[in-house]
Amino acid sequence: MTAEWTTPITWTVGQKPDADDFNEQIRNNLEYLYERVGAAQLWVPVANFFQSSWGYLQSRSTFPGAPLSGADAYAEMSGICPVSYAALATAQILVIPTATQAAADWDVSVEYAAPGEAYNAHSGSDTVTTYNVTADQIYAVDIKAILASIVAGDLMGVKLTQKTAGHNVHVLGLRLTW
Amino acid sequence: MAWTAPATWIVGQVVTAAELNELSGNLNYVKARLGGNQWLWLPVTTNYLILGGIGWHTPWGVINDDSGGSDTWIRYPVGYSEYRVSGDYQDSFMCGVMPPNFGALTQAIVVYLPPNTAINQTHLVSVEYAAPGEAYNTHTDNHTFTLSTTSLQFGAMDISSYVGSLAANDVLGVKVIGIGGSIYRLGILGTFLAWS
Repeated sequence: MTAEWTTPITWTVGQKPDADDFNEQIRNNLEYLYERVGAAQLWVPVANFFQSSWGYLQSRSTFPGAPLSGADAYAEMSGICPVSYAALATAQILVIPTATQAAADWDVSVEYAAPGEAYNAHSGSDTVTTYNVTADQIYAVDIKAILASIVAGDLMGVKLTQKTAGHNVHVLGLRLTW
Repeated sequence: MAWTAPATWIVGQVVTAAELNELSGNLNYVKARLGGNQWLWLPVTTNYLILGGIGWHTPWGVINDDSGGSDTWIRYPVGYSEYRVSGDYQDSFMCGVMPPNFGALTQAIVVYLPPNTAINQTHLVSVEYAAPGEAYNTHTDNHTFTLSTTSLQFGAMDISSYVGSLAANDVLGVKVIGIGGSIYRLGILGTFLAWS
């Protein structure tokens, strides 16, 4: 962030604002506010995972998460889209791959709906994309395309499934920015 | 100061001091409400317990459970995660991602609620952070805190010196482990970060 805040002055009758006044008092201050307001984020830590049975979250070094290590193991997260939500900028599942794979075979799916609607009023999935990942390098799985219709107040459930044995991954959580 | 609906300016209008002061007031109003966007709370997500052999705990399984046996842990009120650091091998973890508007770090603390009154407890806090595309331990640091605790009084460990290079979009992992003795017990609630 680059803009600096200038405490607005109190204007007096007869005072003539010049260009510097407007730039400092209004333009720069609006820029300051824009930099801070226009970048909101929702972070939802992973809630649980299933791998033959429901498992307890574990840590990879200092990072807690869901340690998927088998075909069809999956991790889930859920949250609510805040009322300040506007246009979706990014929607990502953050993970730490535990194996290097040129085409990691992970599926992602979502369901979302407003209170009062069926939980799966909207749904989407991506079972085609694969991911070129390096073990122990943090990776952001882009799910923006399958959350395209989400609006403020919607509840959402997000799932990442490991489809192929050996394509192991430690799932950290869900990140939305808008 | 309250928000004032902004006026619509018209061509040729001569601006008055009162109108400019309305603009100033609205700017101050909005800035005062930015604070809510400039912090991040990372609740404890996982914890490893040795006492009682319970094993891995999550925020959803621990409130009505305990490690049993001779354990004397308090049960924190529902709403607090009953995570504990006690002796070797019992550690708590939390992680999260720094928002796009992350700026200059002003505060980074691990918040705890101790079950016991004790002096000279030692707890090791380890941190790792990195941006997507980097190794998760690109930045790493740790520090051993020596704490004097009062039963059921909140406390905080200041870790701001150990995450000084944090930047927007970095993913941060935090681990807390009691070291050195069985009386070193803390309920770890989470990590709080604030920035300007």
